Amino acid sequence: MRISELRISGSGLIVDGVDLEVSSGETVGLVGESGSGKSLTARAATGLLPKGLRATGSVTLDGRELLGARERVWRSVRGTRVSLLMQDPFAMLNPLRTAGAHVAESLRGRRDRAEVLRRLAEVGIDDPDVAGRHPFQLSGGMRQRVALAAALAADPGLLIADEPTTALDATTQHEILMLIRGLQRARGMGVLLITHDLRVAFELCDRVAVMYAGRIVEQGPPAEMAKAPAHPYTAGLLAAVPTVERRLPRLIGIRGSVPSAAQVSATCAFAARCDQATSECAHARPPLRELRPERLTACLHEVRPRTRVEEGGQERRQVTGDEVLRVTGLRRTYGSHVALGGVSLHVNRGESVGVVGGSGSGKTTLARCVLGLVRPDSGTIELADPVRPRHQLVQCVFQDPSTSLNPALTVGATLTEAAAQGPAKDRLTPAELLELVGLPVAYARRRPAGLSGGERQRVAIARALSVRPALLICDEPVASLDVSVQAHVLELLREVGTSMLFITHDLAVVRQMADRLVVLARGEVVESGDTAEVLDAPAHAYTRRLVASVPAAP
Amino acid sequence: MRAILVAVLGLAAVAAVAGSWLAPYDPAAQDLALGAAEPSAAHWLGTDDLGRDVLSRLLAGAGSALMWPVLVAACTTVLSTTLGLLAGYRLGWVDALMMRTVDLAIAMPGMLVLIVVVGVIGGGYGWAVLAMALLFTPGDIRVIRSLTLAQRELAYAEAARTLGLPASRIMFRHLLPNLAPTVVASSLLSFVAALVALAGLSFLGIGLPAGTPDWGLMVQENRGLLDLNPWASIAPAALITVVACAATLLGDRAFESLSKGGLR
Repeated sequence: MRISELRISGSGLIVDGVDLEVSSGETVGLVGESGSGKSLTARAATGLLPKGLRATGSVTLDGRELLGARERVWRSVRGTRVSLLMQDPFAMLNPLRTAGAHVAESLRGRRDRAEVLRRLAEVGIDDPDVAGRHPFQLSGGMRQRVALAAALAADPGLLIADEPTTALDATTQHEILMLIRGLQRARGMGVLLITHDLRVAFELCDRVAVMYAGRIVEQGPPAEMAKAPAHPYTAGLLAAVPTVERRLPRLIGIRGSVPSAAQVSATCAFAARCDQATSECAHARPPLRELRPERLTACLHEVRPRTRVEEGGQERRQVTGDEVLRVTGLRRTYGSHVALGGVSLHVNRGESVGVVGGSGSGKTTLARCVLGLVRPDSGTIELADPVRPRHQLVQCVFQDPSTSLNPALTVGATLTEAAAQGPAKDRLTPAELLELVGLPVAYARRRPAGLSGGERQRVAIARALSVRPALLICDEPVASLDVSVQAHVLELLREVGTSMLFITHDLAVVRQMADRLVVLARGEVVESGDTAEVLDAPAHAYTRRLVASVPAAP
Repeated sequence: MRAILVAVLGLAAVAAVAGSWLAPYDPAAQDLALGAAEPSAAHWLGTDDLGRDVLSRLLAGAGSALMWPVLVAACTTVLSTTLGLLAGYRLGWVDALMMRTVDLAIAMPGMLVLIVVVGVIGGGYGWAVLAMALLFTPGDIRVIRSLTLAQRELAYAEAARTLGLPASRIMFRHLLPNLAPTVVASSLLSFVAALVALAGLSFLGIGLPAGTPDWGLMVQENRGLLDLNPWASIAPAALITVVACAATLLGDRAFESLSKGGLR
């Protein structure tokens, strides 16, 4: 498949001139943050653009022009020549049909049970009973395998995988990626992998294209790109990716936020956020020039190597003896499902304790119990002070920045209200709180809809801190944020320096944030100890699996 | 489009407030010698069988035709929003009790109950209006409750609970503004339903005493004059239709623009 000069516009320009080629037998990664236009590029390449968007340029498959083709032509191409694997395996499968029916539907020629089972075995489902199950009876990883089997049932020459593993656990994510690689090699097909995660793209792809504000800014083999990025944006992203191997003294993000393609159509897309930008960068749009064969960049300059801040030893924070949280024997069941099976842990003052585990490990239920949103079946929760009300002792930063602020209230109103719940002495004003989290004071008048994801999360942190809690619970605070923004939010949380219970599925993040680590699996603590010790030398089999599944840091 | 809808409802509101004052003739003044006459320069919409000016009666009747439905809509909205929020946020026995009552209320044949109530109590129009508000409330409670259930699980509502805010504040300051699109749309729909239902009652001769200038009543009283002056019954019927359509469409639009703007 060859995509050239692809432009997509709706009410404004969204994708601005993308050129990309995928040959059979090769895996190409298209990497970009949210809003970069990567998913729309994939949708245009399969003729599935949402209503109201128009694409110009050219998409050819084996020399045949597809852009602007009739729906009838597309139907003959989709599934059989090009297949699309999407992010959410639950939404992609019809809940009323069995796994086998999904695969059988797309098979050509033989449609018998033996063939369906063979196809399911190909994606690593050996249990023949699975064919008769419905999507809701399967785990996320199994659903994605079934979806993959269905996508490959008609033997397409090209598989477009749009964030195929984003919704999955780290361990499952690794398995699915390896599965896609194995299938790609065995079948000799082309794969276009679309992802926001550089680590995933580098692990799997032969060639990686980095997209930014609707255009490709750099392209090349992952090994070279990791060693010597040829575009400042790629360099910035690489620096922002947290590593599981060591604790970085400082987490560096990229300042500012992603512009829309229309705003930067006549300049270098990255100029406004670039440390190396010169006046040339703002005058003309730099072309995608060839450095070497297979190595393209849209930067005019030689990229200065980023000075990685050298490890400044683990700066231990002041940990005093008194506890701000002690949980003993916490149990909570939902029907027959055991969410928490007797969990005990404690957090000292000034200490940051990480809680890691896959989905279903009970880590969110633990947080909700401590916050008082869920009543545990048994066990005790002791906070710093038995007299003061719970809401002044523990506060929470929730995962999803799109719902964590009330859309109807201004930022100022939210913060004022929250601060009024704290102790009456030295009450913090919205202006002070905004300053604390590094936002302009003028933001007090805005509503959440006028803020980016990272800014909303900062406001959420300010709201949690407004009552001066003894303990801050962070429930996946950066899981929904782009890498370049993640670093800023994590750095902010470090600076704040309250005692923290930091819940995450991402070992690289927890390495940066936690002094001590508790590993949860199926509602039980399987391992705990000093973060560095646990991650460098995991003792429990589950922890080892978790550590092994982290994509290698570029 | 939106401007047209607002203009239609605005004109209706002006007529409802200042109708009797704007009317060119006394709506009760009879001209038996003239009888039912077709539209003329003196009487733009003609006269009815007692020689009363149709236009004046329409203007004078706008008040009772529109004010009562507004009252129904206001009562229904306040009741259903409060009770729906309470049921959806409190859950537990409050919710169970309220929802079973709602189930019972919805199982009753509403219009029939209304006719009996008005028939038994007699001309007390206010009672009919109150009964109607009570009849409309259960359906809206269900809608508000289901939306509350969805909103209370969102992170901002959990954050409010984590901050230890009192339940009433969470319900009315945090959840209610996010239900606003539905509340506004459903109050306009209640208005429309009440407008049509009250006109229907008038048409059946239940409620207002005969001879009162009222749109529903005019359709009924003048339907015998279709050959002499068709406007005497068509005009009030058309007004009811136009106002009802305008309010429904405006409700739709308000819902869309409110759920898009600011809130998401």
